[in-house]
Amino acid sequence: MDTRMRERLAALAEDAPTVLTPPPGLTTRARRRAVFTATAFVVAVGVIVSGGVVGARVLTRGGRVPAAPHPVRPFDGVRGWIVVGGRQLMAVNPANPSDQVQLTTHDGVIDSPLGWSSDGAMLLFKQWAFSNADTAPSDLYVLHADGSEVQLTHDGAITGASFSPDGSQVVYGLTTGNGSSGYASGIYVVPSMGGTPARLSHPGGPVGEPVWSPDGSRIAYVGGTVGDPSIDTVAADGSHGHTLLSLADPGFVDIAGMAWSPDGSTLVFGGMMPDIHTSQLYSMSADGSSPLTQLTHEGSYNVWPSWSPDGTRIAYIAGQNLTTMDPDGSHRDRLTEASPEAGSAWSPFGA
Amino acid sequence: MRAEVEEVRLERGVLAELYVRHAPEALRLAYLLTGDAALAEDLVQDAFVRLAGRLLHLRDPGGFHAYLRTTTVNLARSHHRRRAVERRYEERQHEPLPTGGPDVAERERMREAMLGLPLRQRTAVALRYYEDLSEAQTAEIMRCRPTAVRSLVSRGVEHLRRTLGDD
Repeated sequence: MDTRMRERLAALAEDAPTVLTPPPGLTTRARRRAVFTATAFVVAVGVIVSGGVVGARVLTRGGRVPAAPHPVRPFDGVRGWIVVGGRQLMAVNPANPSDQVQLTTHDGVIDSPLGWSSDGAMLLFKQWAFSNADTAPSDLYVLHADGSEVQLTHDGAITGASFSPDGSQVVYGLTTGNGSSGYASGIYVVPSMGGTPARLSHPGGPVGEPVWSPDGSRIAYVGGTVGDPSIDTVAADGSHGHTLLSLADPGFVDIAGMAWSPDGSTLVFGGMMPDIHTSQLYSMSADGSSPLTQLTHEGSYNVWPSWSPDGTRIAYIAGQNLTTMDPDGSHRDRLTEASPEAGSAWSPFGA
Repeated sequence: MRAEVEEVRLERGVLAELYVRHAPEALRLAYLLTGDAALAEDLVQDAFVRLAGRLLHLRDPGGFHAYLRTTTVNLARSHHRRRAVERRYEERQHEPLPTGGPDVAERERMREAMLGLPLRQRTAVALRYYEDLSEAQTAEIMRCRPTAVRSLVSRGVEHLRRTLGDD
């Protein structure tokens, strides 16, 4: 290739955006919340007057959405829907995937849904803000039905989280630290309304993806050490930890999402290969007694599983599509486009 | 990547440093592969989320930038597979050329010429002659043999020259 062609490529590359849309700083965030609060009040008055429920329906993927008023009590309209992440949290109606509701109005960040409370009144999500030195790599929030948010963490990187079955507590994985002083990577429990976190005991090493069992008795998570990760469980009080599966045996370096079946009998997770670009979904019995069953075979990147409330379907991200399937991997159904990295969370049906 | 992992501090603000250091280059590569600034932003955001969530598990000494480059290429390929790029490209064919002088027109001609390449040829050309990677490095990212890279680049450059009227 001649020099002129190289120069043309370089010139073309200069048309690329130089930086991503900057995330809001702390001041902007505070202003946004103030605006939101005022907006919510005005809309609420409108609802009372009209006797109806206003919902901002946005028919695009979670990546790039126009500004929209925040829905009033949006969770009422999305029971049994699947929330996907991206530049906004978007709820997708699995029965009619073009029917979508935007749940957040954040700018310049990536929101990843992590899980719902069992009553469908709260949604856990983490927020990535790469280019803002005022924010941690990823912070953990609880989104309430009235649109208010409670920030649970302020430092480090969130490596997964879920509610306790009664919704009163949140378990989360957090990694902080640096190479010189060493990493502090652990599992913590904090009240879902915020408060002082308590650290659960664990064997050490990087940990992540903690998920509370439906009966509340156990927490499954990725434990082990760098290069030798494992799926472990521990009692909710931090006792009786043991390893269910060494991830090194099937050749996984990490998992991309893990979820208990609603009856607590099965764990489904994304097994990530060393290149971190290849992942398939697997299921195993929650006591580790059965061999792994590979659920997905098509495509190279299947991640972030989430069970339907009745346990009859599993939502996940296949490549860049929100997809559902039966628990045995059959009857796949592509619903809509979705960010490949921002996860999925299936809302409880609720009353 | 153990050595670099040891240097990567996950605490407040440090991931932003990684971002500032590596995102612009990733954006330019993503733009060459897609010809779409908004799509390039989405790809790089996704690439950062994937990598930042797994910093502790990356052990290749090639480092963060190499992972970011590979992830960007993979995500662009995935986008291409679902035909979003093709749809955007087809829509763009009906858009008028941007105005603003000969440089803008020249870049637009180059952009259209690049988008006229099959994605694998486009990727090979961008990695070899924009990223300045070797055939072996390009082959590793594209998961093919170096001889295949050589062929892809040769056909890609031939197409570009013909399209741009260089012959």
